[in-house]
Amino acid sequence: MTRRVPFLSDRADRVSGRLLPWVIAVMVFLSGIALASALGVHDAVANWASDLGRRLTVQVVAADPADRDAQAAAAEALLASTPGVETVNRLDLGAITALLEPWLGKGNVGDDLPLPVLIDVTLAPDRLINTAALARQLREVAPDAALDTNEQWLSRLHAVAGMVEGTAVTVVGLVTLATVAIVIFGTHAGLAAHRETIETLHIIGARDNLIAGEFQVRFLKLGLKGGLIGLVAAGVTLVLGRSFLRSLGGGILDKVTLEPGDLVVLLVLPLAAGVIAMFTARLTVLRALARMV
Amino acid sequence: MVRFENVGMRYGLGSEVLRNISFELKPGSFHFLTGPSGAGKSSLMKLLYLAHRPSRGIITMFGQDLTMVSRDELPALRRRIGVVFQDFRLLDHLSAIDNVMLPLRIAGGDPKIIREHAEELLSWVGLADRLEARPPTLSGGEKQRLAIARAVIGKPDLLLADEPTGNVDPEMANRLLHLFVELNKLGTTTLVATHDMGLVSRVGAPQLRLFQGELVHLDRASAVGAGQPDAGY
Ligand SMILES: Nc1ncnc2c1ncn2[C@@H]1O[C@H](COP(=O)(O)OP(=O)(O)OP(=O)(O)O)[C@@H](O)[C@H]1O
Ligand SMILES: [Mg+2]
Repeated sequence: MTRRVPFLSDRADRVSGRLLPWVIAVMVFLSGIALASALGVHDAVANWASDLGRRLTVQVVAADPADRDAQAAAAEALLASTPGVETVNRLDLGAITALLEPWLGKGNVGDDLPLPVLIDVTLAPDRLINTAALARQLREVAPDAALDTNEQWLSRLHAVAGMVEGTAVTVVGLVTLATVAIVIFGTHAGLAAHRETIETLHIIGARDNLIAGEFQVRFLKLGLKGGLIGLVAAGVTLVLGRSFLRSLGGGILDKVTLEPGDLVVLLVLPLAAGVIAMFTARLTVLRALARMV
Repeated sequence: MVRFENVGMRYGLGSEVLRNISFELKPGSFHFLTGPSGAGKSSLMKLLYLAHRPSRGIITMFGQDLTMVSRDELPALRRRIGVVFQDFRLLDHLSAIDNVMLPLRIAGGDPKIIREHAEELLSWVGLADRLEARPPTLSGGEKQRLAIARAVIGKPDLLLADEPTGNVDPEMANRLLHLFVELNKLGTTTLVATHDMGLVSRVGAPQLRLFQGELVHLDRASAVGAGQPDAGY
């Protein structure tokens, strides 16, 4: 006979026992969605950045076709001999026409249109290149060549990612505060429901710790239960949301996915909910009991 | 063991329900606490089982001035006191045996030994066949006996019983009283609040008599009401 004696009955405050898990489920759901979005966007932007960061485009815009070709050849030669450059690929006319056709209409790209020469440059991975110096050298050999480093694009992507992350952190912070508040309410309701039993236990010689322990275990369970419900709901939503993004296709959105490490973060949420509920209940009970005789 | 000096007590901001209470319970003594309904018997008990602080006066218990005792030290004192509440205060969600085991489980003893002890005690008060019953399914008298078993299981230094025989027939009342007397012989200082003057005369122990919140007389000679103004009865 070493079974644990429940000093307080679960039945005395059924209301918080029933409601609390659902409230906590909503909290964990919101945190989960916010965190998953932030992590997904963060990963996608990181992928894009490493992609774009390795690519440069050189444009040669000169009116005279002979001059243009000469400048392009000089630029190509310079790029090919620059350390850290992996490939240099001059887009042929067909490729450029294909790029323009959606805007200008098929067959409208005539021979008389002064098309720029585009040179696609891939950098070796893990090589830092001084793009400012490269741009200067390019202008010496080809005055009408312009170097595009995708930096504007990247900084905009980072700004978007930063905003999503900031929003997620705010949501998680607010949700944590709301969880603490609702657990405090629930604990006070429990204390009121058990008031007489607690008084009896005290008179029999129980310490505050024993009573706090009862509440602690109870709220840990309620928090974990709610957290798991919320996690499952968030998981379903994320899976549906991802296949929706996939179906939108070709863009940055379908790159939004979760890495295994991100999933661990999400799995921690129900645990966090349980632990937050547990400690909040404990502190609330100890503070309330200290005011009793 | 217990000493009251000019003690007063009030509930909240109300007027004092106990005034100028002074008495002493010597170690190993047996007293009755008598007085009409509303005289303040249960209130005096609350002071004794440390559920209420006096509004004035000095209470000394187990050699300690209670005004000097911090909240942290109360559980240790309370574990030396056994209480039979007038309204029993059994835990309805626990079985009879778990209720009886409660004080010792709280104090942290070996559950196996505690259980044996509790079973023995429950059969002594005639509840051997109701070990697993929950208090709401017990009769008034059975609850009372359960409450008594819970109060005495810890072999308290001080036993406080508030109307412990109010719900049982005279035969069971005698039996329970006998339990108190036996415990008292083993050294437990005992105070029994009661309306039952027959009980008082049978034991012949001294009484503390309350009337409208004040102690009427301290009768060491144990003569029940003999020649005394017997207010209320
Ligand atoms: N919780 C309380 N709050 C306010 N007043 C109370 C409270 N409990 C008791 N009283 C008042 O204190 C006085 C003494 O009550 P107490 O219960 O001590 O009497 P008693 O002698 O035990 O009566 P009985 O024999 O009926 O049990 C009564 O006037 C009662 O109304
Ligand atoms: Mg009373």
